[in-house]
Amino acid sequence: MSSVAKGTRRGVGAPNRAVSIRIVLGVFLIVYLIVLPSYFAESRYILRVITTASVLSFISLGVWLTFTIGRINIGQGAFALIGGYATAILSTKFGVSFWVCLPLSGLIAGLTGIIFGLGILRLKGVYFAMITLSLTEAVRLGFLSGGDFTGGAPGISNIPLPDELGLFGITLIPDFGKVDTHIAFYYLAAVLLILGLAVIWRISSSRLGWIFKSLQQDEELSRSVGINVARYRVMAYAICCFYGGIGGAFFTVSQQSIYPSVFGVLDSLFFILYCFLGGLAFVAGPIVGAFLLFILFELLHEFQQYQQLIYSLLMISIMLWLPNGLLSLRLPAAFWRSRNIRD
Amino acid sequence: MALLTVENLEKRFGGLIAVNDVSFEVESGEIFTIIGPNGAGKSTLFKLITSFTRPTSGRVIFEGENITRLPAHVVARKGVVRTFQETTIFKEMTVVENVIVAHHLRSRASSLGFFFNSPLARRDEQEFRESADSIIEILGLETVRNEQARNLPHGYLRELGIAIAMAAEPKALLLDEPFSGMNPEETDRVVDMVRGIRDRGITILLVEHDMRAVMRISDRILVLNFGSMVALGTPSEIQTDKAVIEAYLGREDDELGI
Repeated sequence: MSSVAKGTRRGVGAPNRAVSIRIVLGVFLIVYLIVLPSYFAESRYILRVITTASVLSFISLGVWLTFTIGRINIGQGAFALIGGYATAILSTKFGVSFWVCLPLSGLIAGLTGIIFGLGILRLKGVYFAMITLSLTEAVRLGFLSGGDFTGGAPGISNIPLPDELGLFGITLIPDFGKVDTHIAFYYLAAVLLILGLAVIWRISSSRLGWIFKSLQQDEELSRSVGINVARYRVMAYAICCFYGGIGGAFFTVSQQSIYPSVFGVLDSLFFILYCFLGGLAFVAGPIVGAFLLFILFELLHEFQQYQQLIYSLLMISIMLWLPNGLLSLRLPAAFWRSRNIRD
Repeated sequence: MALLTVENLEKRFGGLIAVNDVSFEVESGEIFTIIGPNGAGKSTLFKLITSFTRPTSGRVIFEGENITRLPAHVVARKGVVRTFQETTIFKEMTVVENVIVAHHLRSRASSLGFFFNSPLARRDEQEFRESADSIIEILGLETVRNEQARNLPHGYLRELGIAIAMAAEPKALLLDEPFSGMNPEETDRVVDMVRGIRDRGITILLVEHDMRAVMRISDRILVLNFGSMVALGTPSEIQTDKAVIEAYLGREDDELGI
């Protein structure tokens, strides 16, 4: 009797849960796309913090994907830098529109990722982590000594804002210089993040995600059943680098300048931390991690010289008590479970 | 023509010769076992056949095609699939997910097809799910179908390893010590399972220590010692071969039940 009752309850509960997830997602989108930008329209600082957090999340999504193939990637800063310089050079030296630079920067970073990845993805564990860390530094030094082409230490400045994007005379995106620039960049970041999340979510829930998961767990076994291990891990890495390149292009154009130390080893480490602290098992992990940690860091400005200290202590606490990330708290799941507990 | 031909295969690690001038042929539908003391080069030989290691010299020919220096996943694609000595499985997946993932080389959809969930990708998934269920049924894993693989009782791990290999539709299946660490009843079960796989038209190569099982199951046996061939023949020939008894079985033949 009780098992029947339980069965029906669960049967009804499942679609309810799907609906409630959709509602939660809808509320998030409304808050993110409408409430936040209109509420904070006048406070540039907060708007800029959310914009930055969005793009940091976007870049971290790529790092998260390399976690799914079992690699700790501390090289994302390098690809953000490559994307950033691609946009800077293309737009200042060749007059290419930002709307062409943006995807091109991603592709250039992705292609560079393929070239590096073919070699370094043979390494695993701490060795891969170390070589990607060195890669961040190597790429920074490369741009530093690039002469006139990269502008050396001061880098490239006076990068034009995104211009108008139209099709058949219809304006799709207005010239960023003629509208409220902060709001424009806010929406650009929001659209990037939503699209970026959708793509990564789709990858991880399709067969590709399963292949990546199999690589994470045992590359030899994957190879033994005919999976082209080299190809898929390079694919995952290239997608990661593409995300890095796009993110780098965004920061370059929103700051209107780039210099070699914009993205360094510390930034690469932060991308990893966002993933860790948000939760590696969840697609939304890097987003939750980036938003909470970045906004937290900004809030701690009040404490002046103690900012770093408090911040570090908080991060250590999260790692100690929530080793599977913030999302492992999963309040909604706990809520559902507690309702299903019998008497 | 033999299904699999190994010609003068040799593997050196620096000064050490792990496999030294080994040649044999495996007929289609055979259960062919490789035995030898620890360090005799059995596992290295398996790795050479499945291209997980490149030989120093020699050739491996499968269905008339030289597969010696092809990448391992291509060799698997041709139909030469191995299992692993340790309990190598995808630990963070359920049993059925393990088997579904392992169907990879049958998929016809491209990576983009997977991404956009094309009709072909959906058909693939459907087929893999059905095929995985039938493999799970054949190998008697239904009761643990939805268990997380890392929680499986030890006895099921090797069956899961074989199920993963079966998903790749092998023509020749190389089993690395399928009976090790098993009690006699478990061994009997796996012996029957291996015979069942052979009866489905899959040629079996085994590396094994369990003499009782080896003598029962094998059509032919190759004995290795220090990487070199000592003898090759039917179980009864091997049991009476003087060189084998000296080199491998020693004086403990009674204990081993031979």
